[in-house]
Amino acid sequence: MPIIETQGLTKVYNSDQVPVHALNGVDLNIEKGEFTAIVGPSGSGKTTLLNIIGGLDNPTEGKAKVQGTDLDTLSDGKLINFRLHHIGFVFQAYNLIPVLTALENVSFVMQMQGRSLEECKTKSIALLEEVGLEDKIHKRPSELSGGQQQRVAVARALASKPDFVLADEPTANLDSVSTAELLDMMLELNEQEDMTFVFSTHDQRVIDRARRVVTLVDGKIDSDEQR
Amino acid sequence: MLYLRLAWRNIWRNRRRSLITMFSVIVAVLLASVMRSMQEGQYDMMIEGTVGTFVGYIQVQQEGFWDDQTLDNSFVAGDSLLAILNSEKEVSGVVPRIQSFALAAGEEQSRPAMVIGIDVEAELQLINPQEKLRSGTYFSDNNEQAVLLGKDLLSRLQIQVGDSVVMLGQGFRGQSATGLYEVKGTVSVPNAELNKSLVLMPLQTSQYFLAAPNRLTSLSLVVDDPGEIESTIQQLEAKLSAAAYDVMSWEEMLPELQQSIEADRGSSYIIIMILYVVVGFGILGTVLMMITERSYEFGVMISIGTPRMAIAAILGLEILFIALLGSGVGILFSLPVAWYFNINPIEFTGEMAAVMESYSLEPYLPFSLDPSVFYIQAVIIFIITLLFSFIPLLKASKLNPVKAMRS
Ligand SMILES: Nc1ncnc2c1ncn2[C@@H]1O[C@H](COP(=O)(O)OP(=O)(O)OP(=O)(O)O)[C@@H](O)[C@H]1O
Ligand SMILES: [Mg+2]
Repeated sequence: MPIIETQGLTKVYNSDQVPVHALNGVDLNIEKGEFTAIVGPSGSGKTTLLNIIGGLDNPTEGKAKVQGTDLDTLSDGKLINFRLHHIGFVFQAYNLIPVLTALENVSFVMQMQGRSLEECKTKSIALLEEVGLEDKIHKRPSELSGGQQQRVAVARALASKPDFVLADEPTANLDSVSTAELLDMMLELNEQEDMTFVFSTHDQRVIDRARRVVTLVDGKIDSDEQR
Repeated sequence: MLYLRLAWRNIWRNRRRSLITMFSVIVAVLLASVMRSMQEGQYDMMIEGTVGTFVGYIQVQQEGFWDDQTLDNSFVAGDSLLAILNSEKEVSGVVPRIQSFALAAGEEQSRPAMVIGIDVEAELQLINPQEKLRSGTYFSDNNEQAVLLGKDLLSRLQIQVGDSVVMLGQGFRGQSATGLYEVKGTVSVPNAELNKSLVLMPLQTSQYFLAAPNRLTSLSLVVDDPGEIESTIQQLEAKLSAAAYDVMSWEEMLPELQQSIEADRGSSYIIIMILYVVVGFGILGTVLMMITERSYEFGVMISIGTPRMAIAAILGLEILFIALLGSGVGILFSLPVAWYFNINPIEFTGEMAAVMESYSLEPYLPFSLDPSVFYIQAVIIFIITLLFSFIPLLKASKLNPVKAMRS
């Protein structure tokens, strides 16, 4: 069974006078361990797709399933809890809670999962070491560079032991060195721990390193290549 | 714990705004508690002036006396009753009285009078006529054939201290009551009506005059701590339930005083409420700003799985921290002020002092240090904060993460 499965995913925004078809029947399966880039021109529906897969938004038509669970059938509260346990998120920027240190940000999700303080702490430190920030664990986001903040965000996304990590343009605000470092790290986690990553990007250097590239155009899958 | 820590740190993110909000709470709490402390001090004094030095906080009477105040509802205080009253630990004195209406007549004029027969010794604890003398001297024993008149009664009867006054009335069980007494002096009591009608008589003299030997109409109890009145009454009622006595509190006996205090308190609460509603809008503004400027952050938090209630709880804790810290500091600042004016009461001068002295009140206003005056402010602030932030918090927790993160 694929980790992520969408069938005829359609999203129509009616906010302006003209309805906008952000997604137009997207069928997409993602298996465990994949390293998938969603690419496409601005406005092609990448964010919309990731939001629906992540249970942050509802499709107008079609289904989005995670580990076989149809997200549309979950109540709001259940969905939040589902995200807490099954999905890791990395956003473009400002991922972290500003008043918490790197360590506290990572352990935050684990604490919400109800794990023991001991476990939260050791696991968070281990994760921050994994992303190469062992010397920054007590720093607050404002004391970290953009790249370091994104790495903390990845560590946090992994902390909840999710089924997969969704990242909407995680490198958009980073310079090329930080971009390369973040990508190295994500690939390493993908290879060594078989963690599934689904991310959107505009950056050709990022696209070049993806294992699978799904291209969206006008809310439809234009191409889907494995490498 | 996690939420507490988050809330605490969030307060100091926008230090200036938090401090300004706190400052408004501090000022309001300071004003309100100092004002209330002054008022409660004034009420205490009014009560002390009339109750503590005249009626007594508690009276024991024959059942039915209060509704039908005649000598037929008088009683003989037996040893067992006195023993019960004296054994009550909050009761430090028992003051017997017999009272009735009569006519007081001088050579030219006569006036209706309220005759109160007093125990010359015991009464020093309540009315303390010796202190309230305007002229003349106090009784020397309970058998003396003499009276003390309210200061205005003397002039109305057009007589002088040292003259005689004839008392006419009805005694126990309809017997006639007459007597001729020397006016030993005048007293001024904190009640204008009584000053025009009061006749104080030594106890046995009055019992003889009213043909009611050994009989009393009331026993006033001296209670040192007014806070213990309720419990003392309850205990006495339980102990005296079999006997035909009523245990009356000052509130029952002086409902007008109680009501006027309540009315005054009520109007001050209105002023305080207006003050606090203004503070409430300040709190509302702060909450709204906190929510608006952090909606992206809340969007992220809800996305990664933070329960909506947790968002509301963190925000609620933040604003409560600010409000309660503000009330704490406000109370802390108000205590020394109240303390100072408790020890160094405001002294009235001029007209106000004259008015107060005419009611036998000392022209001083000591502030009250009653704890409830102060902590109630924190309670009100707590409630106001909940009221004013409830709806915004609810709305914030309902936020749609996608929308919140798009803007
Ligand atoms: N809440 C919304 N209301 C109205 N229209 C929307 C909304 N969200 C997205 N759209 C529209 O849907 C289309 C797809 O948007 P989406 O954000 O998914 O594109 P994208 O591929 O992520 O673009 P970008 O590369 O610029 O991030 C766009 O035309 C956008 O304007
Ligand atoms: Mg996008």
